[in-house]
Amino acid sequence: MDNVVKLKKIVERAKNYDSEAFGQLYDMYFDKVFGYAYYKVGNRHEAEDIAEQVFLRALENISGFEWRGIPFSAWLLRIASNLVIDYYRSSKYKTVDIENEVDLMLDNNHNPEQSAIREFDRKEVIKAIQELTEEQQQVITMRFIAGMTNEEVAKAINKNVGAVKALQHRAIGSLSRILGETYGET
Amino acid sequence: MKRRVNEIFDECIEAIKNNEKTVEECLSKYGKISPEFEAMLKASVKLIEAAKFTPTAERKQQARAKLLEAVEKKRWELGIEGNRIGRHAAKAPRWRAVLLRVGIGAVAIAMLSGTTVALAQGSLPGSPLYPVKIAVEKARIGLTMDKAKKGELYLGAAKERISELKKLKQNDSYRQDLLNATAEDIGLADKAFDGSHSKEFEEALDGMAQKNREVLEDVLEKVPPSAKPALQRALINATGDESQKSEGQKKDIGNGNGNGSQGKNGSENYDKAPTTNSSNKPGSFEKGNVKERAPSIFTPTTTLGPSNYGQEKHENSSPEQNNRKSTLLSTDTSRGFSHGLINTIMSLLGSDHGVFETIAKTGLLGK
Repeated sequence: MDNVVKLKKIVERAKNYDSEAFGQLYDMYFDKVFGYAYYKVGNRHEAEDIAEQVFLRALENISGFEWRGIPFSAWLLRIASNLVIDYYRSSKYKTVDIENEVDLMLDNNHNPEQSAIREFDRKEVIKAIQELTEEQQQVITMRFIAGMTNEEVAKAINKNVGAVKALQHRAIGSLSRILGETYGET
Repeated sequence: MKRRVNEIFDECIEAIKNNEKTVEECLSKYGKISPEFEAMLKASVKLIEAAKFTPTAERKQQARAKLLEAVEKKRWELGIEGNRIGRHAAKAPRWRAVLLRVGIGAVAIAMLSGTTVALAQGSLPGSPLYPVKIAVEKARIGLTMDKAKKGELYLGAAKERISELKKLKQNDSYRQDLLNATAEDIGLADKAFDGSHSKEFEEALDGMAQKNREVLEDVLEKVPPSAKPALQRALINATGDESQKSEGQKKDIGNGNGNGSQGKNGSENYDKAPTTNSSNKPGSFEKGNVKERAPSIFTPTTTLGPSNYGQEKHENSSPEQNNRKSTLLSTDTSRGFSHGLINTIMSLLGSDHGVFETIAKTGLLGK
């Protein structure tokens, strides 16, 4: 609760175009927005661009943001979602092949071999997520990538917490089947 | 029953996400509540692992800088007042006629060029005269056409902010603003030098770091990425010089700088000659330790003694001096003059110096 009050104060300051408040919101949410975009487009560079655009668009629209039970993170993800749609409509998308896109960034804590395995797993997870229904994708990215709670997801997608848990359960059931096929576990 | 499975599954995922339980522990606790329970938990682990993917630090910082720049632009477009220390003062809306701005700006500068400016030179954030000091700084930078000179002025402004920081108490609420302003000025200096004078920029930073290492360490994280390497090198050089000096003088042993002799990157050698500086005091980031002033461009035309004019909380002045200053400052004319004029100037100036460049080009103020 304390965090919510703190966040509301930061957002209020951001609505007055306070640089420091915007910096704080950026620090709190950039990674989550990036993660969400990454799982939607499957390309690091595009995801970084989209995440950057999300905050610039948030700046343009912050005056219209109102607390109506919807978490601020969900508002940012909605912007991200619109930008992802724009991306898929653009010619840019046609030139990026997710399948062959190799992320050369190595994890700091892993050797190249481990990084390659993690990269492979990540790509497979992305492909599997993209096979889910739109609603399931929303729940999975919000819960796992953006780190939102069940309550926050419920408010964001206008469902109750029970429905979110059920959607999550079904989504992971589907994912485990898809990934099981990929890894030859079925 | 279906609901129960969802609940248990969610509980297990949450525990695995928070590293409170492993898949095996969940399985041993709940058994096989459904045929696919184990496979689903393993898929969740893959999902959790895959989510540990972050943007590159460099890209993240670039995007942050871009956002903050856009915020400042927005503030300017909306004519929002600047922050407390007047760094991003309200900028005049675009609809104001340039000629009007030029005319009023020129008159205001002319009026400010006397005693008020001199009084303002020593002011600190929170002082009624502080905005005058910032306005004058901005005007000087704005009137300078030469990029290298502009860079020098930004560095001068950064030095002045550091000097102000040293006069503030450790818990003063303006400290963060001043640290941010210092970082911003260093970034702007770097931009003004534009790579072509990088040696000058680096040497100037070296000089600053010799005297103000501790402050600049606090500033380091706030400077734009392009200026960071130069500042890092200057700090490493300063740390090396400091340890050499302390060894030579066989003093200050165990004063908390024990790790400083190698610099932050240990073996890096930047081929810089150590600068001897008698005013360099480790740990001098305290009130009242100010030795140097900003470059001569900031030197007041009238000497006023201690610079904490109008600042009750700054304790450098004698009671007599403080009484004299507060009498001077509390006169309605002084306050009215400074506030009215400052507001006008700040609204005209902003940090877009185009107006001043225009003034300079017209030769209205001479050289």
